[in-house]
Amino acid sequence: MLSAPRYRYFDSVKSRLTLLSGAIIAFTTLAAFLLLYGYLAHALQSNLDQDLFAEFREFQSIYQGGGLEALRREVALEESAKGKSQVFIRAFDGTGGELFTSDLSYWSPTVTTPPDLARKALPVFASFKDTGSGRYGRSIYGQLAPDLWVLMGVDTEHNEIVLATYRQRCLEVFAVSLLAASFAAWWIARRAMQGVQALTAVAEDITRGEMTRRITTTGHGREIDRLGQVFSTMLARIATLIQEAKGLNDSIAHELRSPLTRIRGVAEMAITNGATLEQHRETMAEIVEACDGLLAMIRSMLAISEMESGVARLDAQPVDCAALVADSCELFEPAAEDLGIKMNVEIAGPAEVFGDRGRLQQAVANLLDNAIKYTGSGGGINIRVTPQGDEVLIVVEDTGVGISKQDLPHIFERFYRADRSRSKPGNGLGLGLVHGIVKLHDGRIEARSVLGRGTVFNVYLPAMRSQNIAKGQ
Amino acid sequence: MRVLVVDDDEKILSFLVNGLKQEGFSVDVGSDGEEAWGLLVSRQYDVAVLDIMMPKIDGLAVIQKVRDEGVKTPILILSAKQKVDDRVAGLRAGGDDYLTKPFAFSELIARLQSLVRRAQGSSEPTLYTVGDLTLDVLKHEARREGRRIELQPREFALLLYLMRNANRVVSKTMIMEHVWGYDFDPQTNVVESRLSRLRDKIDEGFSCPYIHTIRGVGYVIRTEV
Repeated sequence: MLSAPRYRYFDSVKSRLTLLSGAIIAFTTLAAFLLLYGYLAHALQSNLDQDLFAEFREFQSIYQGGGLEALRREVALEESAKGKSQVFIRAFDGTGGELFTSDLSYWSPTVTTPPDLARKALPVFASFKDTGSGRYGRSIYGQLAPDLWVLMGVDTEHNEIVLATYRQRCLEVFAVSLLAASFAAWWIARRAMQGVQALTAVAEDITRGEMTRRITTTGHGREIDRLGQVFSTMLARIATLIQEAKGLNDSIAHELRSPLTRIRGVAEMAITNGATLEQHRETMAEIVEACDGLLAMIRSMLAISEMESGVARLDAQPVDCAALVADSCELFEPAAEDLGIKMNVEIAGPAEVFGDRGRLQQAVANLLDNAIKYTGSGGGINIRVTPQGDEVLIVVEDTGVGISKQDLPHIFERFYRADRSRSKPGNGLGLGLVHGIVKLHDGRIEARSVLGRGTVFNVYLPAMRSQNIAKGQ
Repeated sequence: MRVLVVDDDEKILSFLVNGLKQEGFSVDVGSDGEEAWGLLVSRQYDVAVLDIMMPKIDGLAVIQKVRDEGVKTPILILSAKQKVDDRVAGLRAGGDDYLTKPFAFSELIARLQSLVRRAQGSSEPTLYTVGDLTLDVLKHEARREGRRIELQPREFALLLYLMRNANRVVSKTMIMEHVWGYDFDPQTNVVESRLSRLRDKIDEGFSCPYIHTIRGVGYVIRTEV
């Protein structure tokens, strides 16, 4: 079983997606609001500055038309129109001495003192905060005439109210949209994850033992469906492997049982029946032979599984198949002759491959074993080695009993025997081993057979070229 | 000949000791790596048989240690590990031969004797004799009662191998390995057929057959029946 690691709440994909989308939405909304706020504040201020400047120009023209008195009157008028708390105006001569001023009682002195600036022709704007009353304001200070300077300040409370309202609204909208967006994000994430959860549920059922359950189309989108399909394929593959392993276990148990039964039987007989030394020798010999058979079977099994699992290493070197096959035939010839089988060897020149000499010897020997086993007296075995382009072809052809169409596809499987009565010796691993060895050499093996007429095995091995050597090293 | 046998499996150890004593070896035993090391450095052996997987110090470490200390005793490694890599590791550590379990006892004896022969620097004889059968390696001919016997090359090699191991049983696997260079024994009884041909040439027409089949174990050439 899977042991679930301890996850905190935010380790789930759903929470993470929700959180992430929420954060992105919050950030963009906030940025938009800040930008707009900046624009608004700027627009309000430049509006105010234009008004102040227009006023300043008006004072200028009034002064030019009616002199200081007219200006004083205008200032008094202005003051009473806007209110004493809303505006202050002061006029200075060229040396900084005050000419006249409006009522300054609403303003603190820091605000109403003209800035100590180099006297410039153009008016200067400044924002200020009245420390006494806490009000905000904006002032303009400039030269009205050659020896007349004016400082005018206005209360900007109205603008502040507009901005404060804007801030308030923004905050509200931000809060609402953040909530809405988070919910939407959570909902989307949940929907997206539903497919995964559906898959997980099925997978859990399978883990609990419903091995035959398969994931069907989920309707949660193509990606999820694809995942489901891959899962199903994987499960099918695993099921096949389990089946094979189970079959193999049964076969091994079966193949072990018969020789062990024989060993036990003869040993028991030897103990219970009083026998001569010679008879005991016979018994022991039989036991040794049965043990050798078992050991050979175990060795073959290990060799096959080593090759199938891909851990087998090729002790590769250039091998002349022609010579190797000729040697094998020379080895088998007397045995075949004793059985009344004629061996016919045709070798068309050298045929080099890059391979494992020991394993190739084993493969050829197993094919010859097989051919001899199923060919009766008076039959024949033809062996050919032919270089064919970039391949080496080894043919082992017998005139034996042949293999039926039903059996032919299975002959390379472990423990498969077409001869169901098992009247012939052997452990059903010989051809499996040949198959494994040929595969290990990147070759292929084909079998053709006609029942009652004989069988042909074609082994194709990659001929040796420079790239084989490179690959082997 | 004095041999040291070290294995932590008591059953295998007693089987080895009994077998080796029967073959005329004088046998010392040890049951772990420490004992093996102690005995190898303190006493002189003609040959030693060491298991790899042993308590205290494993076989490979023992071999490396005694080789570092200059002990030249030939060592045969006995191991259940069959992979080529394991064999290579054993021989690299300083072992002289490697035999995998389960093994044929006759093969162990043959290998031990060959190790001793090599260590003692005795060269291979060029003339072998069993009763009235002689085999001259240099002239490449076999004679019985002075009469020349025509042998095919493979039959000559087979006879040579049997005579080299005269009075000792050699298994089919050993014959396959030494005469044909195969490290396995095919299902078809190829050795038997070849041997019966050789037997026809050596023993046919003579009162006393020399080549004997020991069922289940192998073959032996000897004068006694």
